[in-house]
Amino acid sequence: MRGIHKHSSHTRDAAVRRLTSANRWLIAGSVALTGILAEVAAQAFPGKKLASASAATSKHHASAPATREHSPQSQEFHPPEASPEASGEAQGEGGGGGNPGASESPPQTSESPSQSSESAPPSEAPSQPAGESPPAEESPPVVSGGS
Amino acid sequence: MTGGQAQWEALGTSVVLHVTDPHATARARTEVERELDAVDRACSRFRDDSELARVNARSGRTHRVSALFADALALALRAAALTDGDVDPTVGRALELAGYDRDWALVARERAGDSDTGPAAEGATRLLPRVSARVRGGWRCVDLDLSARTVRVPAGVRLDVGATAKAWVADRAARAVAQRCACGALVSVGGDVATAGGAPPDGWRIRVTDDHRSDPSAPGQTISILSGGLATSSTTVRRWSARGRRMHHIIDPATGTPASTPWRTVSVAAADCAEANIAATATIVRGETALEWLERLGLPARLVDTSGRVTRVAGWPLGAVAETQEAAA
Repeated sequence: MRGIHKHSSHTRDAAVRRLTSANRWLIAGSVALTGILAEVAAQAFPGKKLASASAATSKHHASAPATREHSPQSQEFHPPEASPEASGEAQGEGGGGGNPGASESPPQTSESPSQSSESAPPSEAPSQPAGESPPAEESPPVVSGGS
Repeated sequence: MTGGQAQWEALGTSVVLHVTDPHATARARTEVERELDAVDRACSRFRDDSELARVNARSGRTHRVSALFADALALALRAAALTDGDVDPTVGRALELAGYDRDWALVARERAGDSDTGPAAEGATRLLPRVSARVRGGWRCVDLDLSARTVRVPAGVRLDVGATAKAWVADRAARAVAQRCACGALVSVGGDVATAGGAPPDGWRIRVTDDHRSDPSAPGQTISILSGGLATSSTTVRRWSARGRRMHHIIDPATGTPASTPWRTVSVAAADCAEANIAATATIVRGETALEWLERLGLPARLVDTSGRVTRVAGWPLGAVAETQEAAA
């Protein structure tokens, strides 16, 4: 009986050692495999940077309609390709076209402190006097104002 | 500008069309009218049969909407994101409480006179509930799923996409004309100007002033653009008086009341009209701090304060004649 006990205890110890060793190999293999899979996935599906905090918090889901030039998801303004240019002032600047210097235009005051100069140099005066009718073939400008 | 042109009334405002090919004018107008009609049926706050009205009438529920309405709302929400909520489509209720609760022609007729005394003011006082309006929830509470084309707004919240829809339809119409008529096009809807296709040799000439219905000789500045859009927001139009206070249609979402602002009129140029309009409206709401904001964004802008003083930023051109001051509104 004692021999049988000793034999079974040795067998058990050996089995435990084998199990422990197998466990270690399994754990090491799992870690290695996880790393390999993560690398493969990262290469296959590159990530995208979040546009902004506000975009991330919005419930507004993605899907760009075909009719817009700029995606509705775009979180930035797009300046014009070219800045507006001063146009020939057939109507004059700041005052009534046919009545330059009328009471509609108060005297000039100090310029805005933080922004670009407000006074155009004298050389920018229009070649045709304010109030002069535009050429017959040219239509008046489109008016952009509050609505 | 030479070429063809047309002008008519739609969406409660004036529409101006210019095309570089005069032979394309009739077809171009048809294209513009089609876009206007589609957007009106989807987005009008004053039509009971519009999708917007349906969503507002049954807020708190999820609605399936058309692609057009979903796009319009997507732009309105994008406007809110771009401006940190200064242009917010959930101010519909605030507009109603301020008195702008029906088509402007009807509001203006009922409140004719723009006076704080007399029958008009009495009418206005009767119409305006004696409560102050505050926006609850804000734009982030709107759940728009563009893939499923569903919209849900919390109960009690009423949408208004008027701050973006006019400029957006101008962009859509200009692009439609340029593509289908193969010519350069300018479309102005209530003074929000969009261009597409090639410009005339001297560019598209635009007079910026307080009111889009003004004569081209009104105080302001004439500029030209070759592409993109230009929009003007102003507190001098769509305004009325009530209980001794001047009201206008640009709501500050932070207070739920008409924005208290140093600017009376702001014109902005951008890559398209919708963005120009968003920036112009946000500038009215932001006040003085908008100057640095516009400069940083690189959006050329012309701002006229309540005393008539003019400020330009980000490359907006000087006038051909010295201009620092406009007539007071």
